[in-house]
Amino acid sequence: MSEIKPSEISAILRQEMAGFNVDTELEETGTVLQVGDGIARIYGLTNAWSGEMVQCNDDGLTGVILNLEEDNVGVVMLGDARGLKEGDVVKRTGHIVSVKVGESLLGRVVNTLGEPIDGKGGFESPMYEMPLERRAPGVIYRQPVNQPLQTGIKAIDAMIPIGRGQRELIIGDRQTGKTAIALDTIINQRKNFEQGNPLYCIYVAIGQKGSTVANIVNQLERHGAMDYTVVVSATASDPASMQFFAPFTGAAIGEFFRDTGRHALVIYDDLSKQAVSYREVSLLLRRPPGREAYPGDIFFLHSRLLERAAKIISSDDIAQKMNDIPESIQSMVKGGGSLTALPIVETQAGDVSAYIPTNVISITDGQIFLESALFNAGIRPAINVGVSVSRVGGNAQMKTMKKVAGTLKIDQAQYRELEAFSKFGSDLDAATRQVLDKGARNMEILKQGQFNPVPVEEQIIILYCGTRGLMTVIPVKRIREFETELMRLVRRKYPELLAGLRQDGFDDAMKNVLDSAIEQTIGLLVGPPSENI
Amino acid sequence: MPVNQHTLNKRYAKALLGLAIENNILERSFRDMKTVYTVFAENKTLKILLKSPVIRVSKKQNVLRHLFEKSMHPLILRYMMIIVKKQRGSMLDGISAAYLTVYKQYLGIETVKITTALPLNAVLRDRAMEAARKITPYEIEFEERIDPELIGGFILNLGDKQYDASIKNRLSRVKKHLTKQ
Repeated sequence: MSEIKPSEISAILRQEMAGFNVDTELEETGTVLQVGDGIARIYGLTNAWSGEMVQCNDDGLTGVILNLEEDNVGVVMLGDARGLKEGDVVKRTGHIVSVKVGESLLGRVVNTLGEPIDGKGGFESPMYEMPLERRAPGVIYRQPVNQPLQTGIKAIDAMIPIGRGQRELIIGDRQTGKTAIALDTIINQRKNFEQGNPLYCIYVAIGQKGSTVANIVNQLERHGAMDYTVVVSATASDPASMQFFAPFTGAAIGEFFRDTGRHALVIYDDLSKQAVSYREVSLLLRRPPGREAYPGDIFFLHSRLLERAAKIISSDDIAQKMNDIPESIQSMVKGGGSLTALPIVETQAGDVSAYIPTNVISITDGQIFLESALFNAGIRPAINVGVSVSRVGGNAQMKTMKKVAGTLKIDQAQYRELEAFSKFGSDLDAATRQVLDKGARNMEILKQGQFNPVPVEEQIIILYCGTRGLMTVIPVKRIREFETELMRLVRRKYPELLAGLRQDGFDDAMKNVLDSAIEQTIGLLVGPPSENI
Repeated sequence: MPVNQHTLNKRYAKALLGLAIENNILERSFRDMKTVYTVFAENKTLKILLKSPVIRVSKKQNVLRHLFEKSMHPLILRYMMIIVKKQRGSMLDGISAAYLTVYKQYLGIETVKITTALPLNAVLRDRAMEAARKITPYEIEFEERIDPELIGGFILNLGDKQYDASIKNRLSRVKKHLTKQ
């Protein structure tokens, strides 16, 4: 350090100051009347807009105008408002709340304002300003969902398929594996990333513990998923305003990928906590409370957020005319992109008829319902197949998968109805017995460990065995073993079968190959077929 | 909120303004209300007295009458009597402040606040006036304040518009610029 000469310091300073604008501009200001609980009432700011950012002090504390009243404006602080006091001057910025988005966000953890909080420094690549609140694309800029989004979870891809651009709710009590499903889905996109057509993932953690978020980032890193993932974190200790804006930040990041013709997946974990934060802010702003003290616009809060998930029309020309495109990305807009949303909602004691769950269920294109009873019975993922649906994903499902797993959902529903009978004894007719046998085996197939996503071609193979009833000779306890053996055999001996299935083809020749592979595996596990008859 | 902006204060002030226009005592009313404003600003006990529910209204009215009878237009005095009668005597300071604002608004006068680090001299004042006239089409009334923390330069306030050309502001902007990365 002693080597530096004063003259050098001035040179550096001069260089740094080169771009500094010394002009003073006419500012519009207001004064703080009242401040508390992260809310400030400002007198003045006559021309301010709703949703505009205001600058509260020189340290960079910003706020968002949420209420415009007759003689004051209500502002929520995005940060620690302790330094703010009555009489302080607040300035307009003339900008709607927005975040800077770009490719260099990938692999990073950011807060609601898009600032890095992982200690890895600033962002390198060009960043584009995206507004947090933006109107969803209109009808003419959309396309029906027609491309699958593979979650790598057998039960979901087979029975509740999700398409790109869909909004599928993950709902269930605490500790039923909601986040696990979301994380597995992210991890399963690794292959897309490696093949050069990535599906970018955005995980928004709202009101969670800091340690939980750190753990999630850690898991994603370990499975190589952070390369194409952005984590937006608003932990439980962040101000309520940061928490309820966090999903909007996630949506803004997702829209950047969607509108530039790429695919993205955003996970809001979870919207019930976001609703609670919004309720807090609303009540502090003295907006009238409604049911369960939530404000009247809680439905709109969620519907406008989820409406931004969309499959954009493939024509570039039409996509470029899309409504409300931010100026910063105007020149980069391409068609064919998509933003899939997987909102998560936590229920209390399985009560899906509470306020927020019913709202979000009605907004989304289906739900994956998780039950703690199933979870405790060892059926994991603990998906209740009967009440889980995907309203639009079927169109996006691969044809082969549809053919193979088409009957699985009904089979399983039938099985669960008959399961109660089977507990009374063995006096059952052959048909019932068959349904029960098949159901129990399918149940076993659908069990899947965490961080173990299965590629779609392997899913098709094992589901083929299940729905065609080819595993009747295998005891239920050995189904998993059978699955591993079969996969090992196919991977080693018939890679062309896997490749074919990946291309969504399944002709008679392939079917014969698969049948023989299954026969070989059965032979390996329980001896040659003749001995079993 | 500044006292002159409370809805209720403004209502009372506007009523008086209407009355003053009708009776052609605009200027007198302004002078009188200014007196009321300064009296209240200098005597906190007067407000406490008017606020007290223990003291009878007639007593409060007597106090005010003794204070203002000689110097004030009878209409203004009657106006104050009514306010006291309605148990709003303690708001007189706010009402008088609001009246001054409403009066200026009516005549199209805007108050421009100029804050400087050192007292203004005549030349500078003229130049500041000139600059302020460019921003607003209204008549201008000047209010000067001194705040050594500015170091140099000035801040001009006009309604909720602000032109901050102080050294303090520039330094803080330089700081922000240099520490951005």
